[in-house]
Amino acid sequence: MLLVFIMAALKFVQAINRGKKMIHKITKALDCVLNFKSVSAHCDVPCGIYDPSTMQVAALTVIRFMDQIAELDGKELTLADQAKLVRLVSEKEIHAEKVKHEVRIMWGDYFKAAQFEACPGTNELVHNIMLTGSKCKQGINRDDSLALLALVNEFASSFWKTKGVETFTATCPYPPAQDVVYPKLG
Amino acid sequence: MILFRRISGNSMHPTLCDGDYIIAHNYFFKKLSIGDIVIVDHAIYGEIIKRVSHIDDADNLWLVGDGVDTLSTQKMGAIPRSALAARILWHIKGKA
Repeated sequence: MLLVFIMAALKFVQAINRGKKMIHKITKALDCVLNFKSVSAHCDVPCGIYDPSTMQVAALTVIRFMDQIAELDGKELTLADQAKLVRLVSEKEIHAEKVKHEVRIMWGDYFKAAQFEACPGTNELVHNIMLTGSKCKQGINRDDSLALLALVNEFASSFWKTKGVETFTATCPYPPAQDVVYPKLG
Repeated sequence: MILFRRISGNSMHPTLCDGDYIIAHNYFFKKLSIGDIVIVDHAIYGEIIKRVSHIDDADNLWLVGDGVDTLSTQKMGAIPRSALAARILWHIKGKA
């Protein structure tokens, strides 16, 4: 008896759902003729464009600036050298901050339950990028900048995995000539 | 007046999804309440559909989206009553 009742209830729900779909189809057909005005359920970030290459380039830039800062070590700095040093330090910090900004956006906006499930270590990885990015802002230790690039590459691998895109590693064809994870597109 | 509108965007997801339809009206016999879904003519964003999050002492509406990618309440700012276009009456879902 209970089974019959449950079956009847399920059929009733299915009938309602069919009815709802039918109403939507009718409304859509009317829309084709009457062209209803659309109302915007406006999104803050409607573009859906995410790519880790921006933060990879920023991480490479941090390494490059650390190298250029190191070249000034031990020199008696002229006024021009001092101006260059100030600029290098400032840009190094801007690019380290850019890495932190980009990873925050991708982690916060792009990664949802499905992506976290596919890449279970993402939260810890992103936290490490934030910490290492800060170290790169604070100091001029080249190893920190290399560690930042390694973490960012790991994040890029995870990102492309969520997109179902294979990756490969190659040395970037410009200074600081470090290994970078690229997507196999096309 | 009764308005038919097609939903564009997902800022009201999961309540309203892109491609859904709504029927709205602008007969405000019933007092507007917190939680009502309304259409407003926003000075910057045009005609948008959002949920009323609160009504301030100056009788301005403050709106919020149900989705994660919505414009923030602060970005939309205080909405004067004169910008209120309609309140949702019926929702026709695209995917049951």
